[in-house]
Amino acid sequence: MSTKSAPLLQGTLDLIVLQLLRAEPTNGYDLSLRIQAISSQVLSVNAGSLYPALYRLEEKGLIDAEWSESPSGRKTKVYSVTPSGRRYLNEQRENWERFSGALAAILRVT
Amino acid sequence: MSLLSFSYRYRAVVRSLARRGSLDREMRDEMESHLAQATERFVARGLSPQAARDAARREFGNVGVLQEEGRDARSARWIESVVADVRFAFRQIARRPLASATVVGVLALGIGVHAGIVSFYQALRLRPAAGIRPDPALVRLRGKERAPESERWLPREFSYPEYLELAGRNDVFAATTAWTTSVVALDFGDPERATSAQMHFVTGKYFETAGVRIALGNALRMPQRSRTDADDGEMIAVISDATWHALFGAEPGVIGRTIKVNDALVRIVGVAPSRFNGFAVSGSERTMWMPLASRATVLRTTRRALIDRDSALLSAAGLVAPGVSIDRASAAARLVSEQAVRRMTPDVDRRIRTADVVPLRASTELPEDPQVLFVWVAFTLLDVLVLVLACTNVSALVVGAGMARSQEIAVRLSLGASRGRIIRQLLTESSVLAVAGGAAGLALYRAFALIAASSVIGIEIAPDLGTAASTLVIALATGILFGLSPALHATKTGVAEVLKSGGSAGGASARTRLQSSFVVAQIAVTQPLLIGIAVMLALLMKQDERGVEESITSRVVQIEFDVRKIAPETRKRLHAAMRDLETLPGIEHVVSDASGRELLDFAALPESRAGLLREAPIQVHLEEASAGYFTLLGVPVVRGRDLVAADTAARDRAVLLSTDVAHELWGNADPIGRRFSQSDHGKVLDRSAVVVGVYDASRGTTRGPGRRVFAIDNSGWRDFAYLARTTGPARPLIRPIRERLRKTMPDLPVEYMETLHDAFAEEQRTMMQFGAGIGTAGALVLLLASIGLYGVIALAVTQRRREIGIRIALGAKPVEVVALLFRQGLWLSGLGLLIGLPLSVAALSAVGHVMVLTGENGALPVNPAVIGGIIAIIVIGVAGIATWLPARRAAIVDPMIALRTE
Repeated sequence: MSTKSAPLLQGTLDLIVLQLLRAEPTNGYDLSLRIQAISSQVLSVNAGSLYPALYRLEEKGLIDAEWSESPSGRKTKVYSVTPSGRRYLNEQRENWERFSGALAAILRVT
Repeated sequence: MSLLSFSYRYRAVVRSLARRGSLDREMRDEMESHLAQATERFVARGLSPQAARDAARREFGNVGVLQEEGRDARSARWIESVVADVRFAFRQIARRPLASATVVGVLALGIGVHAGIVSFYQALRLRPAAGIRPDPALVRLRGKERAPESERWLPREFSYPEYLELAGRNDVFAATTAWTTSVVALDFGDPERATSAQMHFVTGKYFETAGVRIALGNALRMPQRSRTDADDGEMIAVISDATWHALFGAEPGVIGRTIKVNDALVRIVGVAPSRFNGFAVSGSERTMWMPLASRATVLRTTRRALIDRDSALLSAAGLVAPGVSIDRASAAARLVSEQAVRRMTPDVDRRIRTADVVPLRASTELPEDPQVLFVWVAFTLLDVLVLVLACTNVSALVVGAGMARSQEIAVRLSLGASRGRIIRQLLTESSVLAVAGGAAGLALYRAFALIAASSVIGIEIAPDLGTAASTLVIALATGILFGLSPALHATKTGVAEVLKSGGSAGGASARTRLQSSFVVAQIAVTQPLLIGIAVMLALLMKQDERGVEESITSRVVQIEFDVRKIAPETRKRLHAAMRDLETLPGIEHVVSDASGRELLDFAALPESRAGLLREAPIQVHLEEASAGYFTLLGVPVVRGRDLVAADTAARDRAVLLSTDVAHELWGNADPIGRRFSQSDHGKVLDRSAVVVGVYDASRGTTRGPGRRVFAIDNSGWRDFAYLARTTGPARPLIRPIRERLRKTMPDLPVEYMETLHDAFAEEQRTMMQFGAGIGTAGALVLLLASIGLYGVIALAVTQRRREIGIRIALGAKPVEVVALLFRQGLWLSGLGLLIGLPLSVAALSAVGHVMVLTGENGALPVNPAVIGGIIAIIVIGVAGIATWLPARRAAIVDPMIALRTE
């Protein structure tokens, strides 16, 4: 784990997973790589938190999973966002933007 | 939640339930696939396949933990885990069969006793008698009366006119019924089969009010509306199911059959449903019902009893009208009754007569005696004690087991099991044990109820669904409560620490304290239980000593009629029949048997105080006997004289004291002519008593030992029991007596007739059986308590093996170590005994009170200190063995092995 990597804020992992899966359905391994790549190695999400999050989201009906064959011929489980997952993501994004805007404003002022 | 997302969620749950195994497989496949991809990535970066695989694993983390967390994230997870936990629990239980059986056995005893007490309480106080539909509208209309100066209400029966006025309040009662009960003789044409039954003479709507549908045939056809229950009734009867089985072999052809009831021909028209035996608990299962109007014919009395306004005949029950509260009904009944009494019987005496309405229960009888309440309190105390004993045992054993497994638990924690998961596992284990114990206890009580059902008439004591449910809930609560603390404790300690220290680290002092308190609590609770049972046993044994010589008992016949509600005119004929019996060849003399009357306080009057050895009033059982009672029994009257007929009319109550009482009061001085005031529960009676004789207490009477005082019977209230002295052996005279009585009293069946010798022998057998029952219970309590005690102490010692090993390694001699542990064990036992002392005193006083109720005078026949001492020795003995055996075992092993164990 690099020294730069920051711990995830509580509850943000679900948001990240949903956002990435909305862009493109994919499997768990690929997802973990993408999180690291997009966050420029700042967010390190290990499998220990990723998979439980995926199962939890699937349980809630926010994402759906299907086994399919990858280009390399390996069977992988591909996750995609369900309609209610999309709705949930939109709500959460608005919340997040309001929250981060407020936080940024506070940090600027003081 | 929207419909769509619900459907997704629903699908997920169903899928995870339906495909538990395949989901687990999928999860493993997915993680495997993840690792494979990561490995490929590291290989592409130039690592060797093995190094790449290791790197991928490092990056991924603990697969086991992940899978566990993955499982936790899924719902329906708990179902599979519960199934797995239960399966695992059974395996664990099977591994320790003895400890598990002990827990189940101890719980079974506690739960069995609890179920029994709850069932009896419910059956008597919360439910109507057997066979009656529980209906909140069902009420008992109770007549009650009291003397103006007394606080205590006594039951009274209604006259028929008064009942009619109560029944007339249609605005309050939707239905009412009344009944009066007599014992009748049944004749099937064969004198050998002649028997008796309890006959309820009932008004209309009796069965409808009880909600009872006749099982076979018809209900009683009652007189038409225009006539009343007091008019001529048809000679028809409904019989109880038990009567049908016992006397008619349960043949359906019984309907329409005619039998002789007290010499009157009666046609059987119906059979009541099984278990229904009337509104109130009664002593006989052989029950019949006839219309009230036929009573006069059957009992050969006049019909006046139903017309007279001052007769006291009827008990009543009813249904309150819809929307009427029981309080309102009670107020109405009181008003109606008081007005009726004032109008109908204005000047009988000064007693206050009224009525009330209470929910119909199997037992709603007045007086609401504080002693009855006390019996319930005593039973509740017993219940709580046994439950506490059971719980202490269970918790001690569960705690012990949890601690013994702390290493196993630590290993599982380190392998990735979550703490919650292990706590759940341990709780499942104790719950399985608890439920097994609860079920066994219920089964135990159910077996008892089946055996006892034949002797408990008129109430349902079989555990119902509610009892079963509440019992299992208690068992489960016990399991969770006592499984929780060891589970929390076992999982709290640091993994590394436990593994390092070989399973004995972590709050060693807290653990010792916990286990010590178990030992103390166990002994504190066991002691009063054992003392109570021992004293009860001693009382029974004492009761048994009658002391009447066999040369006399074999020459006396005891004759009893069951005439609880005998009409006054029958009573006169009965007296005549007894005088007639004396003319039978071989019969010398007939007197009525003595009977216990009341418990009174006797205080010597001032003029009789000379030489008095004891200032305080003494409590005595007042017995009523007839003239010549002592002479007939051959009991020597050592001073003064026997009771004579003239004592009936005397102003003072003439009494005979036992030599014990006389000696206690005046030593060797002459007590004849001394006078006492008599008081009943602190209330001084107008009449005083004068001593006319002293009888030899060592010889015994028909009333057993104890502080007794005999007075002449002038109320005739128990003139249904007689003693006939014969010139020769009494047994051959039984048949002639029976034949003579059939002629003189055809309507009054002989309930019981035996020689006094046989009667005592039978009583003794019953007492022995009862004693054996109590003794068995005591032995069981002692056994379970001992097992529990042994378990707790032995476990505590075993867990100190490490410490023992260290002590011995440091040079302590084995004997010293054993002595140390032994001293500690004894110290704890002593503390337990001390704490149990107040409980034991309470138990003793409870037994004393129970015995007052059953006719004993509350004085303990044995020295409680002696019993207490014996029990203390037993308890300390068990504790000693429990300490000594494992301590010795631990002390003789090689310290190296002791240190390495576990």
